[in-house]
Amino acid sequence: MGELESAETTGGVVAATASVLMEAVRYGILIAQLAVAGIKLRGLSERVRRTYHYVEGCSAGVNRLADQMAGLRVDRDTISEHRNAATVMQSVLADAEAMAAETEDLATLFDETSAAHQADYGPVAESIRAMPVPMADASFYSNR
Amino acid sequence: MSANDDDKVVRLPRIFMRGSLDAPEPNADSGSAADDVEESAPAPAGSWPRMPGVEEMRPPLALTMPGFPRPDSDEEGAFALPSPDDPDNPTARSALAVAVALMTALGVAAAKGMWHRARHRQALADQTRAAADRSAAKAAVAGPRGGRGSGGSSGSSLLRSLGGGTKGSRAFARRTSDSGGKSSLGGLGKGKGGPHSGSPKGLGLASGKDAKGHKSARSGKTVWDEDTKTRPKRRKGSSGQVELRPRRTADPAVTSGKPSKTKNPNGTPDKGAKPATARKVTWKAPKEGSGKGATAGPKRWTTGRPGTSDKAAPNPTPPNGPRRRKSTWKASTDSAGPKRWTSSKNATGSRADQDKERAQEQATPPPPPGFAGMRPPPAADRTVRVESSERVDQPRQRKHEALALTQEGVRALSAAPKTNTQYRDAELTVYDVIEADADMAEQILDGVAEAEATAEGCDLLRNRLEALHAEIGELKVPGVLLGMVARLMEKTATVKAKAEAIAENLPRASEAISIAGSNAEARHKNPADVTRDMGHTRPAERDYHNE
Repeated sequence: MGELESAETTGGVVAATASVLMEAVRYGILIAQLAVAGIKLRGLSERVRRTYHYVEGCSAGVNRLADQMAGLRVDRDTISEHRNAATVMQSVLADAEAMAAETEDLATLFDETSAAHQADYGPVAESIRAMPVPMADASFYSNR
Repeated sequence: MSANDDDKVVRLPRIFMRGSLDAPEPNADSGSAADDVEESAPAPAGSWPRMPGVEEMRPPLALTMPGFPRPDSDEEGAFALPSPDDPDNPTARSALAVAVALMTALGVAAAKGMWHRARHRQALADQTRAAADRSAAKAAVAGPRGGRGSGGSSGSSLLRSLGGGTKGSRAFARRTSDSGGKSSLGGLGKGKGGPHSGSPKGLGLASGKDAKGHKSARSGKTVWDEDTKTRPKRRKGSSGQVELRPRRTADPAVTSGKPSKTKNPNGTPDKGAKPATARKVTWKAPKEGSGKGATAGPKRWTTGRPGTSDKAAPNPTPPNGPRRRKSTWKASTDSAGPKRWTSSKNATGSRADQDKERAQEQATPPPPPGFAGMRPPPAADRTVRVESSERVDQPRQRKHEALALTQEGVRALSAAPKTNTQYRDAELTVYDVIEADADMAEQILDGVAEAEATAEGCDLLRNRLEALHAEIGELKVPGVLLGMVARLMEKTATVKAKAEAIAENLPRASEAISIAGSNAEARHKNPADVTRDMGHTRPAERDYHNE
């Protein structure tokens, strides 16, 4: 899976994650899908960081340019404009980092959801699955 | 005639072209031819060839319109120009055809002319010698013309070869050919002319032809005559000559011109004698008797020619002597290249003429400085210049001097060796900044598409989660699932927001760096460009410009 992901873009990975959830919602399937989605998104954060790593290079380059120009006593406006551009790049970089973190959280959340649902409802689903006869209406088993 | 001849002489350079087109009447020109010959010879210092009047410099009518041979002028071997379909309204095509035919004919004529010339020269040289001896005996006055005669004859030979055929008047004959209805062009083609025979008569004819040819042998002889009449006076004024030469030369020219004029009177009688026998006589007479010189112009020319002869014969003249020679020689060259050549060759041939010429030269005032025109203005100190040229070790000083000295100085400056000092220690240049900014502005946009795709993916995921959420609610799945799915949806929205932020900020960053680059360019690029355009690697240090 990881190999497949690596061939896709961040957006593609997210979309693929979405497609995983397309199947009919059944307990066993949902648990599996949530787990898969989590796994899919797990590597995504790194991908995001890699994708926008170049921005960091750009920002650093611009800052270096500004420093050099300052050394050459270039006018203040030119230097400050370059520094501003570098600042904007840094903000993009911050957004990218934030997105990477959010993506990581999302992956974790999928895992958690899967685990939580499994822990929360797994025994019930297992008991019902183990029934020798088909299950009656859900309300029939309710414990009001 | 003499006056006319003078005028004609002046027009000689032009006549070259014309000679080919219009055939002058051999008879009428014979006398003039002699004059022409004389003129062809280098003029004494004072006398410079005149430029033809402005009206005269217009291209001949024959060249401006497509010509075609007269139906009646059909001689054997005549060159027939392609006649236009409609003579009244010649088309560009017909004109072109005529032009091509004309050029071809000219080429053929030139080839023939070269051959004829070679033959003529020898014959002419022999004749000239004989004639010169005779004339020397006859003419008491040392005629600068004598030298000329030889030179002139040679010069004329050139023309003759071209125009020699005048008699044979080729098909080229144009309507224009008023003179005897013979076309000058025909002359070109045949070049057969008697002149080649080398007999005195032939010479006479040739000279006549030459004269015409030189003078542009135009159909309008009458016009020429008129002009010539008027011209002699001008020449006396020597104003025309002055015009030709640089201002400096003007003075010497005037002075020299006057003496020559004085001699002219002698020449006039010769002209009067010209008529029939005159051809030979005049022809010769001009050579020697240029002293008599019917016209001032020819005399001058002859005197000039002597210069060439002088070269051949080293005769020590006053300090100015060598200069004169040179100048005269040059002057002659200016007037007519071909003549010059021929004259030099022939001049050597006739010694008597040369002697006469020398005598004239000595008598005549210093000739106009031919080379002087090309020398530094009086303001420029020559000695200084020489020194500077010798001083290789002090180029700077030399430059300064030169600058102070005008054009001469400029020349010296340009010639002076330059030390081009440039510094290449640049670590970061404005060009680097501009280029880096442009690259960055472009590169940084690469992430935009990615961010947008991520946002779209987040949208899709969120939609799925919503559907899941709805379905879970529909299935009434108890527990934490629903809430967790809701959290998933929120988280997805957060990611999407970040992706959108990136997609927005990347263009902003690109724009910012692009603006920074363009501003840097606007502020700093021009000096860099100018510096580069001026051939410098970098301008001087900053302090140098802080005034």
